Amino acid sequence: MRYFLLLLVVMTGTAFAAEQSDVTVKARPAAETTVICASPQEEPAYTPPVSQVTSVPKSEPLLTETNNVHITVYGQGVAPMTTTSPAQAYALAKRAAIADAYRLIAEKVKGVRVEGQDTIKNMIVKRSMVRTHVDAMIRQANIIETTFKDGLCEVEMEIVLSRSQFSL
Amino acid sequence: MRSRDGDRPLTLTILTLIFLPYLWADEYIISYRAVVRDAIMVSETLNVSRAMQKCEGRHTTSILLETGGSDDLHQIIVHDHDTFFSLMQQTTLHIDHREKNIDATNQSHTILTMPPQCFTVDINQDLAKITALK
Repeated sequence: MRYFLLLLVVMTGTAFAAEQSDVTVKARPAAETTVICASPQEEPAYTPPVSQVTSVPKSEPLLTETNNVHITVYGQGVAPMTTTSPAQAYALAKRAAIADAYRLIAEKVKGVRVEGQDTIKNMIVKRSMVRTHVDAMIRQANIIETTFKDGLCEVEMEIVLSRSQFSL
Repeated sequence: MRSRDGDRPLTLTILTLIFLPYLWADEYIISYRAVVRDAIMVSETLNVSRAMQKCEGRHTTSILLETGGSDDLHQIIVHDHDTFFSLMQQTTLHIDHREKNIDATNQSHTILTMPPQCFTVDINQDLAKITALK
Protein backbone atom coordinates (compact mmCIF):
# COMPACT_ATOMS: atom_id res chain seq x y z
CA MET A 1 0.00 0.00 0.00
CA ARG A 2 2.83 2.38 0.89
CA TYR A 3 4.62 1.68 -2.38
CA PHE A 4 1.38 2.18 -4.27
CA LEU A 5 0.85 5.62 -2.65
CA LEU A 6 4.47 6.60 -3.35
CA LEU A 7 4.08 5.54 -7.00
CA LEU A 8 0.87 7.59 -7.25
CA VAL A 9 2.60 10.71 -5.89
CA VAL A 10 5.53 10.31 -8.32
CA MET A 11 3.20 9.87 -11.29
CA THR A 12 1.14 12.93 -10.34
CA GLY A 13 4.31 15.04 -10.05
CA THR A 14 5.56 13.89 -13.46
CA ALA A 15 2.23 14.70 -15.08
CA PHE A 16 2.22 18.18 -13.51
CA ALA A 17 5.73 18.87 -14.74
CA ALA A 18 4.80 17.81 -18.26
CA GLU A 19 1.79 20.10 -18.16
CA GLN A 20 4.02 23.01 -17.07
CA SER A 21 6.48 22.46 -19.90
CA ASP A 22 3.64 22.48 -22.42
CA VAL A 23 2.51 25.89 -21.17
CA THR A 24 6.02 27.26 -21.59
CA VAL A 25 6.21 26.05 -25.17
CA LYS A 26 2.85 27.57 -26.01
CA ALA A 27 3.87 30.90 -24.62
CA ARG A 28 6.86 31.16 -26.97
CA PRO A 29 5.27 32.27 -30.26
CA ALA A 30 5.48 35.97 -30.84
CA ALA A 31 1.94 36.14 -32.18
CA GLU A 32 0.52 35.39 -28.78
CA THR A 33 2.66 38.11 -27.21
CA THR A 34 1.38 40.59 -29.77
CA VAL A 35 -2.19 39.78 -28.88
CA ILE A 36 -1.43 40.49 -25.25
CA CYS A 37 0.17 43.83 -26.13
CA ALA A 38 -2.86 44.84 -28.19
CA SER A 39 -5.22 44.58 -25.24
CA PRO A 40 -5.01 48.31 -24.22
CA GLN A 41 -7.04 49.21 -27.33
CA GLU A 42 -10.04 47.50 -25.88
CA GLU A 43 -9.76 49.31 -22.56
CA PRO A 44 -10.87 52.95 -22.34
CA ALA A 45 -8.03 55.48 -22.44
CA TYR A 46 -6.87 56.76 -19.05
CA THR A 47 -7.95 60.32 -18.45
CA PRO A 48 -6.48 61.89 -15.32
CA PRO A 49 -8.78 64.08 -13.22
CA VAL A 50 -8.73 67.79 -14.03
CA SER A 51 -7.33 68.65 -10.60
CA GLN A 52 -4.37 66.32 -11.21
CA VAL A 53 -3.51 68.00 -14.52
CA THR A 54 -3.67 71.58 -13.32
CA SER A 55 -1.91 71.10 -10.00
CA VAL A 56 1.77 72.05 -9.98
CA PRO A 57 4.17 71.02 -7.23
CA LYS A 58 4.75 74.01 -4.99
CA SER A 59 8.37 73.12 -4.32
CA GLU A 60 9.41 73.79 -7.93
CA PRO A 61 10.34 77.45 -8.52
CA LEU A 62 8.34 79.09 -11.28
CA LEU A 63 9.58 81.73 -13.69
CA THR A 64 7.30 84.71 -13.33
CA GLU A 65 7.63 88.44 -13.98
CA THR A 66 8.78 89.04 -10.43
CA ASN A 67 10.45 85.72 -9.64
CA ASN A 68 13.76 84.72 -11.21
CA VAL A 69 14.91 81.09 -11.29
CA HIS A 70 18.41 80.20 -10.14
CA ILE A 71 19.85 77.00 -11.57
CA THR A 72 22.98 75.57 -9.97
CA VAL A 73 24.91 72.62 -11.39
CA TYR A 74 28.11 70.80 -10.52
CA GLY A 75 30.25 69.88 -13.52
CA GLN A 76 32.97 67.28 -13.20
CA GLY A 77 36.14 66.83 -15.22
CA VAL A 78 39.11 64.50 -14.98
CA ALA A 79 42.74 65.30 -15.62
CA PRO A 80 44.37 63.21 -18.37
CA MET A 81 46.98 60.64 -17.37
CA THR A 82 49.63 62.21 -19.59
CA THR A 83 50.16 65.62 -18.04
CA THR A 84 53.52 67.25 -17.53
CA SER A 85 52.68 69.13 -14.33
CA PRO A 86 49.96 69.37 -11.67
CA ALA A 87 49.11 72.84 -12.98
CA GLN A 88 48.42 71.45 -16.44
CA ALA A 89 46.33 68.66 -14.95
CA TYR A 90 44.29 71.22 -13.01
CA ALA A 91 43.79 73.45 -16.04
CA LEU A 92 42.66 70.61 -18.29
CA ALA A 93 40.40 69.08 -15.65
CA LYS A 94 38.82 72.46 -14.98
CA ARG A 95 38.05 73.04 -18.65
CA ALA A 96 36.48 69.61 -18.92
CA ALA A 97 34.42 70.37 -15.80
CA ILE A 98 33.26 73.69 -17.24
CA ALA A 99 32.07 71.97 -20.42
CA ASP A 100 30.24 69.40 -18.28
CA ALA A 101 28.61 72.17 -16.24
CA TYR A 102 27.39 73.87 -19.42
CA ARG A 103 25.98 70.55 -20.55
CA LEU A 104 24.09 70.14 -17.27
CA ILE A 105 22.64 73.65 -17.53
CA ALA A 106 21.53 72.94 -21.09
CA GLU A 107 19.92 69.69 -19.94
CA LYS A 108 17.96 71.50 -17.26
CA VAL A 109 16.91 74.53 -19.26
CA LYS A 110 16.34 73.12 -22.72
CA GLY A 111 16.08 69.37 -22.26
CA VAL A 112 17.62 66.20 -23.62
CA ARG A 113 16.81 64.28 -26.77
CA VAL A 114 16.86 60.57 -25.97
CA GLU A 115 16.86 57.69 -28.43
CA GLY A 116 16.83 54.06 -27.37
CA GLN A 117 17.11 50.79 -29.23
CA ASP A 118 17.01 47.29 -27.77
CA THR A 119 17.62 44.15 -29.80
CA ILE A 120 15.92 41.05 -28.37
CA LYS A 121 16.35 37.55 -29.72
CA ASN A 122 14.62 34.52 -28.22
CA MET A 123 13.47 36.63 -25.28
CA ILE A 124 17.07 37.60 -24.44
CA VAL A 125 18.43 41.14 -24.74
CA LYS A 126 21.28 40.93 -27.24
CA ARG A 127 22.09 44.62 -27.51
CA SER A 128 20.90 47.66 -25.62
CA MET A 129 21.69 51.17 -26.78
CA VAL A 130 20.66 54.58 -25.47
CA ARG A 131 21.75 57.79 -27.18
CA THR A 132 21.31 61.26 -25.70
CA HIS A 133 21.89 64.59 -27.36
CA VAL A 134 21.96 68.11 -25.90
CA ASP A 135 22.30 71.19 -28.09
CA ALA A 136 21.92 74.72 -26.70
CA MET A 137 23.25 78.26 -26.61
CA ILE A 138 23.98 79.57 -23.11
CA ARG A 139 24.79 83.09 -22.01
CA GLN A 140 25.76 84.66 -18.68
CA ALA A 141 26.54 81.56 -16.67
CA ASN A 142 28.82 82.14 -13.71
CA ILE A 143 31.37 79.91 -12.01
CA ILE A 144 30.74 80.03 -8.28
CA GLU A 145 33.37 77.64 -6.93
CA THR A 146 36.06 75.30 -8.22
CA THR A 147 37.50 72.35 -6.30
CA PHE A 148 40.26 69.99 -7.40
CA LYS A 149 40.99 66.79 -5.53
CA ASP A 150 42.60 63.50 -6.59
CA GLY A 151 42.59 64.44 -10.26
CA LEU A 152 38.88 65.28 -10.24
CA CYS A 153 37.84 68.88 -10.76
CA GLU A 154 34.38 70.00 -9.75
CA VAL A 155 32.95 73.31 -10.91
CA GLU A 156 29.86 74.86 -9.36
CA MET A 157 28.09 76.92 -11.99
CA GLU A 158 25.01 79.07 -11.71
CA ILE A 159 22.69 80.71 -14.17
CA VAL A 160 19.83 83.09 -13.43
CA LEU A 161 16.77 82.90 -15.64
CA SER A 162 14.56 85.95 -15.76
CA ARG A 163 11.33 86.55 -17.62
CA SER A 164 12.82 89.51 -19.48
CA GLN A 165 15.30 87.23 -21.27
CA PHE A 166 12.44 85.43 -22.99
CA SER A 167 10.40 88.50 -23.94
CA LEU A 168 10.61 89.74 -27.53
CA MET B 1 35.85 132.67 -10.06
CA ARG B 2 36.01 130.75 -13.33
CA SER B 3 33.77 131.54 -16.22
CA ARG B 4 31.77 128.86 -18.01
CA ASP B 5 34.06 129.16 -21.00
CA GLY B 6 37.05 128.51 -18.76
CA ASP B 7 35.75 125.03 -17.83
CA ARG B 8 35.52 123.90 -21.43
CA PRO B 9 39.15 122.73 -21.80
CA LEU B 10 38.85 120.69 -18.61
CA THR B 11 35.65 119.00 -19.80
CA LEU B 12 37.18 118.27 -23.18
CA THR B 13 40.25 116.76 -21.52
CA ILE B 14 38.13 114.47 -19.34
CA LEU B 15 35.97 113.39 -22.27
CA THR B 16 39.06 112.77 -24.39
CA LEU B 17 40.63 110.65 -21.66
CA ILE B 18 37.47 108.58 -21.36
CA PHE B 19 36.75 108.01 -25.05
CA LEU B 20 40.24 108.07 -26.58
CA PRO B 21 41.04 104.46 -25.66
CA TYR B 22 37.96 103.36 -27.57
CA LEU B 23 39.04 105.38 -30.60
CA TRP B 24 42.54 103.89 -30.52
CA ALA B 25 41.46 100.37 -29.63
CA ASP B 26 41.88 97.65 -32.22
CA GLU B 27 39.12 95.23 -33.04
CA TYR B 28 39.72 91.51 -33.03
CA ILE B 29 37.61 88.51 -33.97
CA ILE B 30 38.05 85.76 -31.39
CA SER B 31 36.61 82.25 -31.39
CA TYR B 32 37.11 79.32 -29.03
CA ARG B 33 36.44 75.58 -29.22
CA ALA B 34 36.99 72.89 -26.59
CA VAL B 35 36.39 69.18 -27.12
CA VAL B 36 35.87 66.92 -24.10
CA ARG B 37 35.65 63.16 -24.49
CA ASP B 38 34.69 60.94 -21.54
CA ALA B 39 35.21 63.82 -19.07
CA ILE B 40 38.76 64.38 -20.36
CA MET B 41 39.74 67.40 -22.38
CA VAL B 42 41.18 66.26 -25.71
CA SER B 43 41.52 69.44 -27.74
CA GLU B 44 41.27 73.18 -27.38
CA THR B 45 41.42 75.82 -30.09
CA LEU B 46 41.63 79.59 -29.70
CA ASN B 47 41.54 81.65 -32.87
CA VAL B 48 42.49 85.33 -32.76
CA SER B 49 42.57 87.60 -35.78
CA ARG B 50 42.23 91.29 -36.50
CA ALA B 51 38.86 92.38 -37.76
CA MET B 52 38.93 93.13 -41.48
CA GLN B 53 36.03 95.53 -41.20
CA LYS B 54 34.54 97.77 -38.55
CA CYS B 55 32.52 95.91 -35.93
CA GLU B 56 29.13 97.18 -34.91
CA GLY B 57 27.68 97.04 -31.43
CA ARG B 58 27.94 98.65 -28.05
CA HIS B 59 30.63 98.00 -25.48
CA THR B 60 29.67 95.67 -22.65
CA THR B 61 31.89 93.91 -20.11
CA SER B 62 35.64 94.58 -20.00
CA ILE B 63 38.59 92.72 -18.55
CA LEU B 64 42.20 93.69 -17.94
CA LEU B 65 44.95 91.19 -18.72
CA GLU B 66 48.66 91.52 -18.02
CA THR B 67 50.62 91.65 -21.25
CA GLY B 68 53.97 90.56 -19.82
CA GLY B 69 55.71 92.73 -22.40
CA SER B 70 54.03 91.00 -25.33
CA ASP B 71 51.75 92.63 -27.87
CA ASP B 72 50.48 89.31 -29.24
CA LEU B 73 46.87 89.00 -28.13
CA HIS B 74 46.85 85.21 -28.51
CA GLN B 75 49.71 84.85 -26.04
CA ILE B 76 48.17 87.36 -23.64
CA ILE B 77 44.87 85.42 -23.56
CA VAL B 78 46.55 82.01 -23.21
CA HIS B 79 48.63 83.35 -20.32
CA ASP B 80 45.50 84.27 -18.34
CA HIS B 81 42.84 82.01 -19.79
CA ASP B 82 40.63 81.99 -16.70
CA THR B 83 40.07 85.74 -16.76
CA PHE B 84 39.30 85.67 -20.46
CA PHE B 85 36.91 82.77 -19.93
CA SER B 86 34.93 84.90 -17.46
CA LEU B 87 34.45 87.37 -20.32
CA MET B 88 33.51 84.59 -22.74
CA GLN B 89 30.83 83.42 -20.34
CA GLN B 90 29.07 86.76 -20.66
CA THR B 91 28.81 86.19 -24.40
CA THR B 92 26.87 83.34 -25.98
CA LEU B 93 28.48 79.90 -25.81
CA HIS B 94 27.26 76.90 -27.75
CA ILE B 95 27.21 73.46 -26.15
CA ASP B 96 26.81 70.25 -28.11
CA HIS B 97 26.83 67.02 -26.08
CA ARG B 98 26.35 63.48 -27.35
CA GLU B 99 26.31 60.44 -25.11
CA LYS B 100 26.04 56.79 -26.04
CA ASN B 101 25.38 53.82 -23.76
CA ILE B 102 25.87 50.44 -25.38
CA ASP B 103 25.50 47.41 -23.11
CA ALA B 104 26.33 49.42 -19.98
CA THR B 105 29.38 51.03 -21.60
CA ASN B 106 29.24 54.81 -21.66
CA GLN B 107 30.84 57.17 -24.18
CA SER B 108 30.40 60.93 -24.09
CA HIS B 109 31.50 63.69 -26.43
CA THR B 110 31.07 67.37 -25.59
CA ILE B 111 31.98 70.40 -27.71
CA LEU B 112 31.93 73.87 -26.15
CA THR B 113 32.18 76.64 -28.73
CA MET B 114 32.30 80.40 -28.71
CA PRO B 115 31.33 81.48 -32.22
CA PRO B 116 33.55 84.16 -33.84
CA GLN B 117 32.88 87.36 -31.99
CA CYS B 118 34.21 90.90 -32.11
CA PHE B 119 36.18 92.37 -29.20
CA THR B 120 37.86 95.73 -28.90
CA VAL B 121 41.40 95.44 -27.57
CA ASP B 122 43.58 98.22 -26.22
CA ILE B 123 47.10 97.03 -25.51
CA ASN B 124 49.30 99.25 -23.39
CA GLN B 125 52.76 98.46 -22.01
CA ASP B 126 51.59 96.38 -19.06
CA LEU B 127 47.87 95.80 -19.54
CA ALA B 128 45.51 94.80 -22.28
CA LYS B 129 41.91 95.91 -22.01
CA ILE B 130 39.52 93.57 -23.81
CA THR B 131 35.92 94.65 -24.21
CA ALA B 132 33.12 92.53 -25.59
CA LEU B 133 30.85 94.05 -28.18
CA LYS B 134 27.16 93.26 -28.20
